[in-house]
Amino acid sequence: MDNGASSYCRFISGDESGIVELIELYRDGLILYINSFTKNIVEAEDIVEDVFLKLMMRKPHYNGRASFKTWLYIIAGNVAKDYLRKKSRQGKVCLEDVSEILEDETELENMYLKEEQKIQLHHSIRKLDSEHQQILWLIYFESMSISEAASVVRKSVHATGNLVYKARKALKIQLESDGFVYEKI
Amino acid sequence: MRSYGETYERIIAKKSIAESKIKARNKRIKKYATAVSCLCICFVVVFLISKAGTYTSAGGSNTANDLRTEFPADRSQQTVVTQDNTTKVYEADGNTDSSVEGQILPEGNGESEAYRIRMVNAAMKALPDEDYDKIKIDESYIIEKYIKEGAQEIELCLIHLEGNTFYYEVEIDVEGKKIYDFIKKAK
Repeated sequence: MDNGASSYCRFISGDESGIVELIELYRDGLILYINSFTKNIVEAEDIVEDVFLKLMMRKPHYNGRASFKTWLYIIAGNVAKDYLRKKSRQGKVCLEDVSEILEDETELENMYLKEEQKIQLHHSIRKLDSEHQQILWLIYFESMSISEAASVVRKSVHATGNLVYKARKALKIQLESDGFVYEKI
Repeated sequence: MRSYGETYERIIAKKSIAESKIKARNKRIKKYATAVSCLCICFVVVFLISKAGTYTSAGGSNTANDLRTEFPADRSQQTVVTQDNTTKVYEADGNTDSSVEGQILPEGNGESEAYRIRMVNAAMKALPDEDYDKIKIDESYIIEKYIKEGAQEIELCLIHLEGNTFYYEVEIDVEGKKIYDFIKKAK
């Protein structure tokens, strides 16, 4: 399984269906990942559209050194950071209704995560700080290794390992405060 | 929550907006580049025109003495245009000033013209000796030089100033205009 690399290659060669496949494969996961940056699902959707727009306009070269998924998440992280930087300079205000945002987020969680346990876990993760949310999403929900996650968050493997450890500790505290009960073995 | 189709359509719409912005920007850049190029070309042309007609006398690139003389038909007066664009009129009847040194003993015609001495002195003062010594100035050098500069006729006359100092009096014809020059001969 090449995680979409062949679809991207087909798109580069001129087959538009390649990018459609990538959107179907990665859109939801990217939205939830970028939501850890923005805390706003609507903005996260816009940013994901910008990520795919960047792929369509600039057609960046994928050299195959990392997996396609890792490469795409790196691009998404950079686009999200640029967006937030611009937003802080412009002082943008979100006009979307808060209840609508929460509704969209819940709907997406249900669609993408599907399993109840995963959804509960994600609810707890959303209460952590942004950096912990991002790393836990990549490790637990996108099944990335520490080294792949290190590439995405632009840290060393050692620093990423430390971050994962701290994020897990914080998650444990959060789960306990959310009433999560450990199963007795 | 948008569907995959809606997301794709929005991306396509954003793409066409971005492409039209890029097209408009490229058009603007092209316009400004053309305007700047035209300005540069005009500047270069004006610069070249202002430099055209500059004439340097002998000594190659080291000439500071850019004295040119135009003799009227009767040769009773001589107007010298010096390098700083002031004009001086020398009388042919031998009026001299304190800068006159030596005597000209031209070969062949027996005339002695004081104004030539004045111009020769000015030519001597304009260039240090060591610069002349670097260049072998002789008849062939002078002829070659003036032919390159468009002279149709060249007349050379060797003038003995004093001691070992000789000057070439050069009379050339450039497009029907008589031009005179004095060039110190190398030792």
